[in-house]
Amino acid sequence: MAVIYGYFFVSAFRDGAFAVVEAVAPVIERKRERTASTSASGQRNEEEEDEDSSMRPAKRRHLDFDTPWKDQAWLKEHIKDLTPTEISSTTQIVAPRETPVVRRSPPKRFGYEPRFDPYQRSPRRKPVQMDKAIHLYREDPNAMQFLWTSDDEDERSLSPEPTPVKEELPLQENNTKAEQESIPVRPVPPKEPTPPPSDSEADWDPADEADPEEALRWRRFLRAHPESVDEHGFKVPIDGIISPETQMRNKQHGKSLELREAAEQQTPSKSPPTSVSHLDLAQGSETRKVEPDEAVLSPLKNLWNGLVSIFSPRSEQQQPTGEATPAVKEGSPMSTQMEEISKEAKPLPNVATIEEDTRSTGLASSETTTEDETPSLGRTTQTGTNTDISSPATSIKAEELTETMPSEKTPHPFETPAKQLAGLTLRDTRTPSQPFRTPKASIHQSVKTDRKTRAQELFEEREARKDAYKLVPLSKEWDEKVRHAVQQGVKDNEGYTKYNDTDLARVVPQYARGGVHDNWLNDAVVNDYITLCVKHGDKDDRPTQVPTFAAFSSQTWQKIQSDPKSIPTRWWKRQGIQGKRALECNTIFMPINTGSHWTLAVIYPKLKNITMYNSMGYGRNQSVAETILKFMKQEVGASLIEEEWTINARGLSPQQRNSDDCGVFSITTARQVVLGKMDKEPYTADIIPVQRKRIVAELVNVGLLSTEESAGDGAVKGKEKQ
Amino acid sequence: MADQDQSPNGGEAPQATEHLNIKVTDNNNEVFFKIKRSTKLEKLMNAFCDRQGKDAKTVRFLFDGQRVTGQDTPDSLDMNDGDTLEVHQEQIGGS
Repeated sequence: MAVIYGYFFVSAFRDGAFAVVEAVAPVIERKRERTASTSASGQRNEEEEDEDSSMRPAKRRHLDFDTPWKDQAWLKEHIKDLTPTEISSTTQIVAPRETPVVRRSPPKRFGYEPRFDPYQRSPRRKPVQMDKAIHLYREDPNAMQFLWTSDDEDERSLSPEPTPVKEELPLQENNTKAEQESIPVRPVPPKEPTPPPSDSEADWDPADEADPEEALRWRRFLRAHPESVDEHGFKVPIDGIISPETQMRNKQHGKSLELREAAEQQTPSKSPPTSVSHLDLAQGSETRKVEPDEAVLSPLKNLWNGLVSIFSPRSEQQQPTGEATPAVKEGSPMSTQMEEISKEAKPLPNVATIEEDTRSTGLASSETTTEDETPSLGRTTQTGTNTDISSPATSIKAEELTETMPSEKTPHPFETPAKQLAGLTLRDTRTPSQPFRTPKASIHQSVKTDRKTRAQELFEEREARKDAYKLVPLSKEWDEKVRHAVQQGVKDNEGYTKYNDTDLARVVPQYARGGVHDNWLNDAVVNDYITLCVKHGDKDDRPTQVPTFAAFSSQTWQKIQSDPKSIPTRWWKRQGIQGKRALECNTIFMPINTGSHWTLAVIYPKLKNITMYNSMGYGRNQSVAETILKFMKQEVGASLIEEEWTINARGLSPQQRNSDDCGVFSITTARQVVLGKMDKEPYTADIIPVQRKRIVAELVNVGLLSTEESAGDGAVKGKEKQ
Repeated sequence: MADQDQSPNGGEAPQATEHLNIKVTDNNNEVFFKIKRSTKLEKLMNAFCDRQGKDAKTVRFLFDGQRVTGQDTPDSLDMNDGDTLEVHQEQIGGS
């Protein structure tokens, strides 16, 4: 049993819209016929087996080209409704069975999971390039086996049986006999019916004609001169005179021709259309009529309308030129009439309407022409002889022409797209029929690369936060607060004095009451400001963690100076860095006041480094650092190996230009170290007047002021100045 | 008053809950105060400055290396009996 299923994939493009139209050909069950004819009991077993096999799920069946051309004739019968353009450019031939199915595994890359590709074609329906297929078939037609599949058994049983094909279709005239032999299958649909002289004369009776003599003469002439009729069965104009009927026909037919050419241009196929057309399979008039999917049909319709709108004006312009020009010149009123008529005749209605239009217009035009053109025609007939070409061509009547109208017998499928599309079974094969499968979960690959860890996010957040604290001039609002704080002192919420006016007057002396004040900082401001910075740096620490930043008060140095062992562990414990925990701390500040000078010692236990930041000179720094190292060793104990530690006595501190600002430099250095800006973009001495106000403001604020908080208008002005 | 403060009874255990003996010292002098746990240290600091004749603005009281403000209490600083408050002079630097 051979159940044959033809699959057609007809596709069309328009503005990116893509649709695949699949035409399902009817089923041929030859075996059923055979079994009906032969009821021999000896073949029972085979029949049962075949029935069993038919009940089985879908299997690939093959069209056997070795059998005498039954199948191909059938194909030809049903393929004629498709234009060669459609077939050649848009049909995909399903792969031959013998072609080994190559399952290409997706390229394996490290870190990527192969994903489900909805557009990956299944190996069963692997399409073959059109050119390759043609080449294959030309090489050896018998070797070319088409793949017929029927996935659905119900589909098979539902599909109608094909009609037996009686005769082969006529071949194209252009082909030589050698070509016909080499390519036996040429199911080219006859575009137009053959002209009248090629019809069998037995059916034709001249008595039926209105003018039997004229008709006989026309027949005879055409037999003698087949070239006088063009390929569409129309009269070829002779002597530059063209009859209005022919003119109109040419106009109407020219549109369809143009459209066909446009379609060919739009879907370029490298192979010549003649060689392509014979390869393709059937799409018969008996296709099962399934309601076409609107989503697929609409882009096709759009495409059609677009083509019509694009090419119809050009065809109108091009048509009357050339051959038709003399006629137009002769009778201008007639030609305008014809143009109107041709405009009225819509290019793309259904078949029936086209026929009606052409008939009516043809008749109407014949009436006009017979009246108008008789004198001109008379001249030609008078000049020419009886056997002259021009005389029968011009004297033929309109009624005969309407009878031999080619479009009446076989309406071209391209002219009736809606009907044609309605006959097609539409299925979108591009989008996957099964629901989209999510790719296999790969927790350890893509997620890991895409996602930031929490620590990473925190780190970036902190980095961004560091940039938000720049030493910008204060806004007017903050400036007033600073002035008030300097004059009145700062009290906490319960009314206790936090900073005396004398403390803050040292920072911003120009705002203080009662004239000039000393502008050297005292320990209250220095210690508190460093504590402020340390608290800012420790903001993100967990409660149980060793603090990132710690600071000793300035009095610590006084005690260390006399005796490094005089500091009890409790001092460390207050900071949370007692014992070995001190080594886990990131940075420990220690402001150092040597009588009249402020410097800043910074201990980096993790880096095993002690850096001295001195805004004026570098004297004594080394000894101070060594003393601090002893102090550390005394607290930490054996875990601290002094040889491993380095001392940087000359920290890269900006240098002061006067003899007043060392305290400001020291605490500003501490601030920048906390913000991580000391190495990258250290401040300069120019910023000190601004920083003095900022110190007060931040002490009042009990926290560092960010750029936005402090700046307001002032920041913009400051940036403009810079 | 100072003598009374400086001669606490030997049995401090029952008083440990309520009263503390705090030693306040600069490098030269040592003064003992007996205060309640909830007493604000401002009182103590003012008493010391009055006794020593110092300006409260120029004196820093440190407990465990950290400055004590007037509103701190022994409770808030987690002080124990016999702890020491250090008194430091104001530090000034500029050059």
